[in-house]
Amino acid sequence: MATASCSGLLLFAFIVFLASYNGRKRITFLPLGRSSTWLQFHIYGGYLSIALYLVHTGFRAPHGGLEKFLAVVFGLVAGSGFVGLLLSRMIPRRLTQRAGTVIFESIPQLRRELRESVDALALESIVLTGKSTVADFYAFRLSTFFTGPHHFWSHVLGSERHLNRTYANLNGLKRYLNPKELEVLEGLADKVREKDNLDFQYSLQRLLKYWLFIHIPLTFSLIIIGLFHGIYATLFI
Amino acid sequence: MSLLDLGLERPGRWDKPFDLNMTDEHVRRIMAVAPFSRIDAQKFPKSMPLAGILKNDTRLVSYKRGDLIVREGDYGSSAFFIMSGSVRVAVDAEAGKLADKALGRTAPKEKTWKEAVSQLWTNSKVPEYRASVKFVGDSVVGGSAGLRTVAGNTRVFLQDVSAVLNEYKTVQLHDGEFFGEIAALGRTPRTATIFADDDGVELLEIKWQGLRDIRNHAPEIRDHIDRIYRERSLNIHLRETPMFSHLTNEQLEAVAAETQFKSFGNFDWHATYKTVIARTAANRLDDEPIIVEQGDYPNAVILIRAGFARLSEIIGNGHRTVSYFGRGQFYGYREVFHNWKNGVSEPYQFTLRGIGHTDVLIVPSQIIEKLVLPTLPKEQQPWYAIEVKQASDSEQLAKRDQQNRVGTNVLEFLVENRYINGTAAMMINLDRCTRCDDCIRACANAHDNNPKFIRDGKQVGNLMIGHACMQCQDPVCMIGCPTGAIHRETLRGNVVINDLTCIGCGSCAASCPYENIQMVETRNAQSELLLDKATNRPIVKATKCDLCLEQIGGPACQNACPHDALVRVDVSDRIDLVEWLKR
Repeated sequence: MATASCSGLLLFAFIVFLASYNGRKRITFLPLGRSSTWLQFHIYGGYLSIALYLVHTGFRAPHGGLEKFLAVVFGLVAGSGFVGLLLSRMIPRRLTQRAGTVIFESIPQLRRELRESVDALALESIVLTGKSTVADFYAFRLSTFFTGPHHFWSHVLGSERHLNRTYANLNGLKRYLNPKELEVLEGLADKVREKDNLDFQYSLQRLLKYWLFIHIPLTFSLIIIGLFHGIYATLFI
Repeated sequence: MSLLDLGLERPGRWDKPFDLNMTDEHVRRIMAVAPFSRIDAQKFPKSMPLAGILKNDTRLVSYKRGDLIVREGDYGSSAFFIMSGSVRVAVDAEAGKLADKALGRTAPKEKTWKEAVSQLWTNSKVPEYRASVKFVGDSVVGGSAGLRTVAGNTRVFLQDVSAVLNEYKTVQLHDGEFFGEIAALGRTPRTATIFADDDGVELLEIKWQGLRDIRNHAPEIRDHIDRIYRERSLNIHLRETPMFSHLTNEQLEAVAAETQFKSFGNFDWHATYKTVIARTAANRLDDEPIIVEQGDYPNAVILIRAGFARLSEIIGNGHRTVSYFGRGQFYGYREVFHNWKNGVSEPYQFTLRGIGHTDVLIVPSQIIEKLVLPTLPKEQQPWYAIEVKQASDSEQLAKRDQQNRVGTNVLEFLVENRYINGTAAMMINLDRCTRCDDCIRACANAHDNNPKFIRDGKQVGNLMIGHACMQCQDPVCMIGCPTGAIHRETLRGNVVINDLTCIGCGSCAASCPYENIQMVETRNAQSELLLDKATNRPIVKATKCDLCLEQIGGPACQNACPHDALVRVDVSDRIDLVEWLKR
């Protein structure tokens, strides 16, 4: 009983300390140590808290509604933290290798500019060639691709199937085009690649930013439920 | 249309004179005054006559009593000749602070813990909020300083000159005397504050290019400038150079007497920076003047006095950058030492080129062999001999790659883009950066919610140089600031902007080759734009990274990075750089 109380209290203190990293990030103008040092403590402290959790539960499955709920939330916090660690180690390299760097907040504007330039290219093709083959293809098959972010999971999982499909469609159109129209089509293919790069940046950066929206609220839920669990255990067990 | 019709006239140096108001009459008046009257105009080339230089590279400027002409610590690209009236030079250390006081440049102090914490609730919610935008004069002995506009130029002036003269030690300079020539030619900070002593001061302001050409063709002017430099700076510079540190004063004098000065490149390199870096690597190298060439006999050691130089070696049909040098570093010593010790005549092993503007001292090898090497303590001898190149190009490339731990691509990138100028360049490892923007938020928190940099910039591989003020060794942004608002502060030597004396002219932002200074529109507490009463246009101010000078934790961006992806690096400190790059 005493061991459970001690390990529980220690585990709770650990979780509060780990959560305080979020507060440290906001107080950047005080010499409280570098954020990177805090992150290292956060990571290794996270591993240690899993060990403490196992000691606290005596390596037994939880029983009772509250304990089960607490265990699930703890698992989600630890799991989301681990996923976040993997993402922060893997995604930056992928972002750098493929398309350098684009500021996340500027992506909608870049997307809009790209869309306007493709619209202009399609219209210009009618004037240049006197035919609307390329413009029609763009209007019916490609324009939605240029309107917003697409293929989130393909980019996250590193698949280029969607891009190959689009290129196959563009290649299929070539047999109906004269040399001038082919030039326009080449320009369109470049724009497709450009848009896909933007989608790639958007998808991966969104993942990097938004996983914290799972990890942080869950952590604070864990603290509240843990506190409730501690009070309950002290009073009634 | 023939090809000839498409031709454009090549831009000439004098297409845009320094001052459009300069007339032939003005030039005649200047040429009647000594020492210009004593200069033999026949010695000037036809393409660059003395009268042309005076008409296009100079201007006549009038000052009123108390007007500050140059300020200690500022950078300037022109020298002055007193046509009439007199000026005062503040000569003692206390007087040096005169300009700082007059301009409201208080020494920055770190915030206390209480002040730092209070930023949490005192930071403004309004972007670029200013409680006050105008300099109203700071207390100077016996009165105050203010801003006034004369012929469209904004000037800082001392209101009570008599009180200043009583308080500080000053020296008077009269008509017919030069000042500011060493700082103009050597691209070094002004060493004194100078102000007008009476209302009728008329100065001839000479652009550095004009001064350089007059110096080249008029021995009396050259002797005058060289004498001043020898008297004031040369011995100090030589004494600071390790190879001369063991010499006696007499020996050092002898070395100084044989030393020659030379400038390479373009003083206004920042004006052509964007055009130059857009060229191919080979063309860029062609633009960089050769100081010494690989294969030539090493008849001198080259000391860099100001600016930067690139050391390269021939590989195939091109050149490969091996290293870069800044102020205080030297090249040729190993070759001279090797030849002296072994009785051989091996040539320079590399080519040394000026990057941008480079000011060098040339110390002949005879004087080094005679005075320096025989008395050189063993511990100061170069610890490795030169390697006479015999290996093939590919072997050499592989060898250099091994030796050059920064990595050739990174080295070329840093030199070509002149990031070697930075003492606190923002380097971001993109393989580690999660684009979380904690750096931006931290910067904003430390600066009243206004971030001072842009997390974007040029890249090589996984390395990016962010758009944050690099605290340049050669801060070209300071050249041309009409009020001295941008200056080096006294605590750590950082380049900072005094917001109250910034008149929003944009000169610094236009001069910064790296686009690290932004012009912002200021607002009041209600988030309304602050408008200039006269023009009804927004009042703009220059802003840039100040390296969190007043924050107790140091640069917030670096401290806030959770992945150690962002650092502020002194690019001239290659050990630091290599350590970070190789992590």
